[in-house]
Amino acid sequence: MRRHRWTDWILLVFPREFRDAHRTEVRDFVESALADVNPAGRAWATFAIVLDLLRAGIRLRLRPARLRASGTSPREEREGWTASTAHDVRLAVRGLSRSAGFSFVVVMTLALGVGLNTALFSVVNAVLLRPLGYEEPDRLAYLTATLPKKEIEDLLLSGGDLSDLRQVAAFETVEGIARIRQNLNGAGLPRQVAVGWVSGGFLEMFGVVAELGRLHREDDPPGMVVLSHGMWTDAFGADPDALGASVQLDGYPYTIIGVLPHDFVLHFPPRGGANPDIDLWKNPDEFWQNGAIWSAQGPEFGLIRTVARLRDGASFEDAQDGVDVVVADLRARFPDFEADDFRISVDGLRARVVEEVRPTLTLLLGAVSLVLIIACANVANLLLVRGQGRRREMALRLALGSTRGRVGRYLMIESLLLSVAGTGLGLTVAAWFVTAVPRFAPPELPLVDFVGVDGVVLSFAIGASLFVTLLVGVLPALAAVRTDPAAELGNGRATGVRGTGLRRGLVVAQLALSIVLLVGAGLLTSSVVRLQRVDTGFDASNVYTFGVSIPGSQYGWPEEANAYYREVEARVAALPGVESAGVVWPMPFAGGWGGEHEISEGEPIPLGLVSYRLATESYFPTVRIPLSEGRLFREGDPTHVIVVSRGVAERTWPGRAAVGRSLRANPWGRGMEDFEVIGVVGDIRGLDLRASPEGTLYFDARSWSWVDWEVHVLARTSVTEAALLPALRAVLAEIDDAVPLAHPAPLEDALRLQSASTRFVLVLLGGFAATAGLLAVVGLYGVISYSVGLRSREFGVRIALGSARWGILAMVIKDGGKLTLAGLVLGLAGAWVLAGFLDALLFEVTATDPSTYLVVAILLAVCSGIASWIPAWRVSRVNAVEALRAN
Amino acid sequence: MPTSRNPRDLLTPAALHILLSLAGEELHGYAIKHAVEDRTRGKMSLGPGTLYEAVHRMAADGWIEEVESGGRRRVYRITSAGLQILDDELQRLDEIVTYARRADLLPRAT
Repeated sequence: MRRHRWTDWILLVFPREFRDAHRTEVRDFVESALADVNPAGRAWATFAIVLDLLRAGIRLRLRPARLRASGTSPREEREGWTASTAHDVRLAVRGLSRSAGFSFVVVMTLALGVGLNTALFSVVNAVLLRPLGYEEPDRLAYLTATLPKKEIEDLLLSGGDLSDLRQVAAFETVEGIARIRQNLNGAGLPRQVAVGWVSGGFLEMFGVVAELGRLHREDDPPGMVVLSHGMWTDAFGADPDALGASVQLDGYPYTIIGVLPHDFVLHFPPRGGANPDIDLWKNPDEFWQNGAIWSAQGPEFGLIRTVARLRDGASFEDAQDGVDVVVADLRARFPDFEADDFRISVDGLRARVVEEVRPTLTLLLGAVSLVLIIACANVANLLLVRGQGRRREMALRLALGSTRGRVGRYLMIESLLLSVAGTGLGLTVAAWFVTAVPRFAPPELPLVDFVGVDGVVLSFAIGASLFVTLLVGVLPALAAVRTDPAAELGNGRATGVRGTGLRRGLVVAQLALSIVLLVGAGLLTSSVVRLQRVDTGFDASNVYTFGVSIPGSQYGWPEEANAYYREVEARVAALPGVESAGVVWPMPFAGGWGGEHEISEGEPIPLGLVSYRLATESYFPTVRIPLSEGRLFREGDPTHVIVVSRGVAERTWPGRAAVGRSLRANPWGRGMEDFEVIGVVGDIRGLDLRASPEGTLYFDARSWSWVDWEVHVLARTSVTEAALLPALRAVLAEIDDAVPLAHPAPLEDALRLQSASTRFVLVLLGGFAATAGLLAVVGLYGVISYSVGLRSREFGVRIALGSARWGILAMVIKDGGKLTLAGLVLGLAGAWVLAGFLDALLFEVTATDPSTYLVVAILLAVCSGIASWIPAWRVSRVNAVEALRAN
Repeated sequence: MPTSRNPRDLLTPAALHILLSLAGEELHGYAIKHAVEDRTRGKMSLGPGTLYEAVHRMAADGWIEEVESGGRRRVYRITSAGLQILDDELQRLDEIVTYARRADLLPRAT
């Protein structure tokens, strides 16, 4: 059962004797109660329990269970303190509910400030702070191989490399994993599964214990699979008899030896996109086409990513030194490695998993802390205003014999009450956010499943709100304590307006900070709009896609594979409502494939890296990539013909026709081969929306169709997914009922994912900026209407003496305008300096884009104008006589 | 501040329901929560704070006591003092209901 350590923290609210008596019971209760609700409701249940515990704890503190007999023990004094505090609390509650408007604004401000900060912190906590749930996770290292000269990051290694790395003394174990997709049969419907093809000790290295059966062992014979918990539940209905059952992967038999616990997830650094969760784990075997990759004498061809556990006491530096020796040896043995400056770096697994998102999260944390500062300023302002109005009340209390300490304490209690209410509401905001995160987080955000309100997050929320309360609650308390009753009460009407400068300064700061955030949100908005308008070179609308992979054990290639894909294509195209269908690998935004190309006439001239794609002729019309020269593939073509994209043609043969010329490429890893160009098609962006269109070589699927590897089938259709999907499944089942349909989705989904992380940041930053702007404008409104209120007598006199009402209006608006202008200048300058942090997320917009700054300035100026116009208009309507009499 | 206390001050709805649950059988905390939920058809759900606050107070006042049990969970039972309090409270409620019926504020029992 999961431990909820935060209960121990909350129990601190209770009196000691209660804690001693009921600690274990409360803990058990919380665990049972949370285990009884489904995961979706857990955040709310947690919140309700926390609130209930806090309320009960405070009640017990204020009304002790046993009123002790009076005596002289210090306990009695404490009782007195408790009683008088309780009295003050009741007074404060009454006082605050009398000024409901004030309390409402303060509580909402705190709720937004604390809530947004807690919400974001819950993400930061899960992703950046919380340890990975493995045994001694700090000793896990990820080995990243790179070929800097070829700009290849996280190169996949071979079995030979793995066994070399195992020689490094600083490592206890070095294990490898190849992530592949295979067809699973023998467990209900055929399905494509994500397979972790791992060396024998891989799972054990993470300290995972099988929930059922066992893990792999180093000396296991090939053909052993361990199921993920999800797979076991989905495909086997969580039947314990699955153990020992036989299944087929791509037609070969495997035996199920174990099931992993439900909470085991492999967190892995992203490599060209997020890592899907692994459905089943198999040990090395030679069945698959590249089975030899695990052999120490295997081909140089690599498919393995490596993780190592450091020996106890060894440091990452020791490991790096050891790895450098292995690398030097490899470079000596393989001239290609030497030429490409091959390296392997040893990093903590966790650091590598979150490497890409760390800057973004840090940025957001910075942004949200600005919201907290603005909220602080707002609350401080409101409390100061209220304190100003109550100086007489405080003076009266002092004059009537209250001590300064007691008055100060009373004011602190008021602030604390506001802060408790604000925190409670803020936690509600955070709890809502936490349930929403997994739905709108981009797939690149790792560890998102762990986002939740736990003890650390709760402490953060309470800490943040205590910080606010102490910071802003102390000010009015101190001001009140310093009150001189004689002066205050003697002078019937306090005219001095102290702290005006401070308040005006706070408002300027709020406006400035909110402008920084608004500019950031504005820049991101234009980026997202532009990203969505990028011309990809193909038409993704109304295109539905799925993956299909046929086993090499049943199909020969290329002929049988080609025949299979052609048949799928033809039958899909024949479905009612389908306009056309094509086969391609990889489809746009579904991974990359590429290699060198060079001019082959005369002396070969290398032209660098280019995208490769395998396609049928009907792929092009299906996604509406235009043919501009020559023709597409057709029946009877020789094997070595290619279609090139316009960019390749223009770079290679500028100003000359490309058709009929010849180009060398190495799509099959057998060395450079000559291909005849038969056609030129449009360029597309299919790897990265932000990059310029990539040059592409299209190879004829007829000659090169492959097996044991997924290809993508695309259909242009306006039929809905619900109607189309069963038809597509039926098509596959008719041709070969052992071949599953994999990850069906509209092509537009893949496109949308391209801007997912920018949109995620935009949603958050936009929310923060909107909150900040709102708070700042409310703050401005508060200050203007307060100062107008103080000067109503003066305005009354002015009007009585014949001042024009519009003159008064102008005077007040000018006052607000001055503050706004100061805020604008400071804020725009601050944004200018800080917007550079957004650079990585911006697209076709510079961090200093003048139009964004202008729009934000106008927006804020207008809102501020309205905020000062309202009180100005109100005061300009005053009846001079009434204004004079009222005061 | 009043220093003497009227037992009824403490008879919060939570306390009343806990006493009602314990009147029939000996239960541990989480079982009390379930008993109350069953009896009120989910209308009243006790949180851990509310439940143990009441348990703590009532144990201190001798209305309920812990049963010596070998299990890990602590089991409570109602004392004769607790039964008395419960009885008084039910009487009082009954009087109120009877009055309300007589005054036609409530439909008469069938």
